[in-house]
Amino acid sequence: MDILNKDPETLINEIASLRKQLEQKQQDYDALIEKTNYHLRELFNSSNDLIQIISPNGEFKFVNQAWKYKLGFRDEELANKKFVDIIHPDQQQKTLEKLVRITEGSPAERLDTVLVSSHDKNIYVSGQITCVFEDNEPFEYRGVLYDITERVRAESVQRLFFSIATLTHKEYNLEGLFKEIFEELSSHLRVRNFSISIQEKNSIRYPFRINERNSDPGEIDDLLTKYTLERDKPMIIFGEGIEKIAQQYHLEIKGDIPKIWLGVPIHTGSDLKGVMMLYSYKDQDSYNLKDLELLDFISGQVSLAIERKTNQDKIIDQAARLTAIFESSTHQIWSIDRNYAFTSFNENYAKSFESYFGKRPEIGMNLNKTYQKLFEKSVRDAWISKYDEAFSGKVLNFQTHLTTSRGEKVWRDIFLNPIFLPNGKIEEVSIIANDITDRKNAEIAIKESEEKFRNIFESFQDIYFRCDLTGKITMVSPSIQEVLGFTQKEVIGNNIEGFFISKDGTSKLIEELMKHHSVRNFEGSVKTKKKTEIQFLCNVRLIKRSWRQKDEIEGVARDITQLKKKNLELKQAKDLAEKSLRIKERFLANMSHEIRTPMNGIIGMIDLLGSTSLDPEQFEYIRTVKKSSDTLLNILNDILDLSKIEAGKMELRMEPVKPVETFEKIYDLYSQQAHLNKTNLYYHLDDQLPEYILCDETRLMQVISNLTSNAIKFSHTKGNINLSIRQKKETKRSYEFQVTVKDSGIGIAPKDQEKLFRSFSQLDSSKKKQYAGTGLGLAISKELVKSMKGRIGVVSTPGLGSTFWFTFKAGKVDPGVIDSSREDGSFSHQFVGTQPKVLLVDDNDINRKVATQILLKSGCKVVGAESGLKAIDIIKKETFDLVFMDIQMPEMDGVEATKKIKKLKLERQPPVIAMTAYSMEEDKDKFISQGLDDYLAKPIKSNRIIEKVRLWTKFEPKEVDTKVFDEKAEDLIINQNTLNQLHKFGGKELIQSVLEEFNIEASEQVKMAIKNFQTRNYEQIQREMHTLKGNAGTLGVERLSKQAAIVEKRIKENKFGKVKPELNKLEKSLKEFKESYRNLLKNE
Amino acid sequence: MSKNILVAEDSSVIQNLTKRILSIQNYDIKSVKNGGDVMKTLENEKFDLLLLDINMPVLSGEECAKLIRESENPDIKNIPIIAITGNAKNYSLQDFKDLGINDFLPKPLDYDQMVDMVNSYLQ
Repeated sequence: MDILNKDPETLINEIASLRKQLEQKQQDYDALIEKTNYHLRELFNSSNDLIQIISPNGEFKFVNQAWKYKLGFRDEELANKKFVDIIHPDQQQKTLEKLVRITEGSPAERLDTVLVSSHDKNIYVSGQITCVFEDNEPFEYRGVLYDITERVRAESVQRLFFSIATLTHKEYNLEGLFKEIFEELSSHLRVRNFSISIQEKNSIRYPFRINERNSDPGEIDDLLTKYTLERDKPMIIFGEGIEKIAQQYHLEIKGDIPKIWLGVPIHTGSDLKGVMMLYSYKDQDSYNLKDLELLDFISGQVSLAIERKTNQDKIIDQAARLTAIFESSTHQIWSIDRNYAFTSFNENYAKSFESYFGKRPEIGMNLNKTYQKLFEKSVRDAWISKYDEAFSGKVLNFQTHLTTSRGEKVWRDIFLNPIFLPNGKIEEVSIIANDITDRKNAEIAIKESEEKFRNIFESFQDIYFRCDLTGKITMVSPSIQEVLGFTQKEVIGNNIEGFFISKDGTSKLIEELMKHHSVRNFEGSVKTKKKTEIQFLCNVRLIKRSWRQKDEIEGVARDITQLKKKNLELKQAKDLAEKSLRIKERFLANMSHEIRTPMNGIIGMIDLLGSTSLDPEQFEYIRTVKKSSDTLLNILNDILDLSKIEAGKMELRMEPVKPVETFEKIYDLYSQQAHLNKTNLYYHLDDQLPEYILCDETRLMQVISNLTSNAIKFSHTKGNINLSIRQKKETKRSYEFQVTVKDSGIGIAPKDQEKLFRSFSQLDSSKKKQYAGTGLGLAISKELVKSMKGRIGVVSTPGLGSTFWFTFKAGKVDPGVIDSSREDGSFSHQFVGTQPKVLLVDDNDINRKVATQILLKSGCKVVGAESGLKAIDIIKKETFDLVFMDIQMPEMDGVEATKKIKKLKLERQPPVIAMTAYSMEEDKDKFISQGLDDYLAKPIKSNRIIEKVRLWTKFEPKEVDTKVFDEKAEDLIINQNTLNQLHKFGGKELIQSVLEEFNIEASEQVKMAIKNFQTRNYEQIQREMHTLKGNAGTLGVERLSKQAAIVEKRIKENKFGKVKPELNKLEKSLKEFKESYRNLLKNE
Repeated sequence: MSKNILVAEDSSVIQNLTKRILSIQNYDIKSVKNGGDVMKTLENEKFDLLLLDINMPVLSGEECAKLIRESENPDIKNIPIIAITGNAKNYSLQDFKDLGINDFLPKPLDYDQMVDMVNSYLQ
């Protein structure tokens, strides 16, 4: 403008006018302002925005109606409050900082804060605050704020939704999830009390519970959980409502009652039910329906979370369990894919696989390729076809076996299952296998055994049956038809008692069975279909069953009808046989007695008769009678021996024996007989022969005698018989000897050799018997040898002779035993008179006479007694040195008489010797045990009775001259016993040197004698003969000695005419000696 | 020290036999063949026992015994004499004792008896 170009007046006028204009305008303006202010106030008050004007010190100058309504403060309340008092404590600092920045001139700032209403409710606001200055000083703050609570809330809820949705996906731990939910609720909805309840059968469980009042017992939670679940919908309940509900449920509430309670039911897919609840003790306006909706939403999420969680837990559990089952299974489990490669397997399979094939399986291992080597093609093809079947959707079960790399056969039970995928396809097959080798083997064994038993059962001869405890038959073997005639069907189901004929035993049988569980050898009888009776023998057993099954009885019955019959017959036969045997034995014993008694008389009388003077003819007759009676006695003895052996009554009497003496005795016994048979008998003893052995000398001698007498009997003239004994073995306690009897006789053909040792067998059974004898000798010998634990046999070549041999065992003798045994029997040597006085007791007159005669002849004094009583009478009056006592006497037998005699306690007690025809050996012991001192078998032989006298009285009786029968007519060429004596002193060497010297000297002497006879120098002959006699006798050259004696005698008697033939005999004897001597040297 | 025995026996068989058997018994044996040599030997050597055959040439056993018992030399006079005779039946023990002979052995000789008898005089 060009103000400077205008006049002042004009200017003044203009100014005045302007003033005026201005004043008018001022007036208009003020009026307008007044009007505007009113309108503004109206506007402010009617606005929904919150408008406030506050002074710089924070006092409220103005708040509009909306502000007052929203925040709930009255004007007078506001008068005492400052702006900062209504800001949410969390927001105060931030808000004040903002105000400072506005004051400092920052262009209009946006303010977001939270105010707290008088109801303690958060009001989210957003708006602009401006600062009005006056005089450069802040005058007032004017603010227009919008209530954005709903928006914030919506946003918050949205965030809550989101975060809870996230949580439920994220959080696996339910408790953690609940805690997170609570924290979200707490920050978004200022929730202080929050519970999640789960209803279980009879109680309510709280997986999560937060309560600001710790004292709260939870009774309201319980109550309202039930209430909510009954209604099954979200509930908002206020304080009064809670009280009413409590009354309804008759519950007296002790704790605080919430002002507002919100609860929503939680449902999971499963049965699980619960309630999620939140409540406030402060303000019933704390929550509204929107919060309930929110809670409802959360509950849905929570339900899902719980369900998922539960499912997950279940799945985890399930998987773990399945794995555990899979791995811990004792079955072999594996799966394969369509390439037949392993996709899985359990440990057991791996182990089994390794044990079968020596290597572990691997995933991916292919049946077709990788472990091809392990299987044979046929096996692999079989498996592939099975797998293919399974891949086609079939379930397979089969049993198969394989042979392991170690060659063992393993049986497995296999299940093949296709694994169906959800789409129905099959990509894998699972296999479960079980090692059933043991079971299979057992099955096979059972099957075999079953078959076996079935066979046995079917072919059983006896009847097998089973019945229950009432007796009802449940099972029976087919054999019943054959035995009883009933078929199995006819019998099964019937009561067993119906078949018994006698029922007496059955109750006892049952009783026994219950007590002992088995009964053996029960006998009874049953009736057959044909009504006949059968005897049976039955073994029965109680079969104890488990609780489920009833006990049973099983048994086997055997038809013993035939057996019984046979048994009876056998028993009868046995009785008969025994009876016969007894009769035979008695017969033999009687025979022995009956025959021996008269034999006694015959032999005794012959002996006596022989000692009387007889003419040659009579003498020859007597000799024959004697020979015959001896033979008869021998036969009798043989028969008795054999019967004794057969009756088993032969017992060995073991005594210390000098084997050398035994052979001397044998030699003494048989050398004469051999000589008569013109054979030479020699014997040779083992150098090692023990001095004593323990054996039964009588029996040993019997065997040797038998063989020797046989050898003599069957030898040719001029033959040789050699006896020898050799020690075969020696053990700690015993010896074994072999005795050989070698002859040069007729020999025995091989076919006959075995017959030899049988009873009554003589090889020559022709009518014209060349050889005497019973034929029992070898049979007896065999038995005797057997009893001496030896064997007997023969080696023979017909025509060349036989060698019989036998072995026997003998015990060793303790040297101490011998001394004592040798020293007893030292009976008094003093006789009553100069002769021994003998009492002879025998009821048989002949016997008494025979024995008396023999004893008298031997030089004894004899008194006879015909009975025991008589004997006692006599012995009371007279003194005797010896008593011979017959055993079998009437009235009082010998044993009794002896006892009575011993009881008399005589001052001089004579030994009593039993005489009896009971020739059994054991009788001796019997008599001795009954008080008799010794035993003498009848028939009485003179030498035996004299021997007893010698033994018991030490009297040297005179030989009763029965020489005529003893056939001791001539002497031996060389006496083997003498040689044996020499052997003892100096062995073979001595014998040889002495005999050699004798040979030379004797030859010279005989030569001289003949020479001197020619020159009639008889005196010289006599001298020579005397020496020759002594020397030959000393060396056992007996026949020569004897002949020298005869020559000497003839010269002494001056019977020179008879010298010549005797000298010839002498020469012959010398020749015999030389022959024998050579033979001897040869044999040595 | 072993004992000395003089055996007077004309038969070399018996001589040898006695000698061998008695040697085994640990005796020293000297033998002579006739009665004449008996006295000579006894005078030269001391013997513990004399086995004397009665029937001998030169000097009979009976005569020998008589000479011995009449000897001045106590060793000879007191020597035990056992007679050997093939004629025992004709003698009793008393007959021998009368002759100054201690004991006798009959012929044929029993070796055991001989050994026992000799031992009984010398041990």
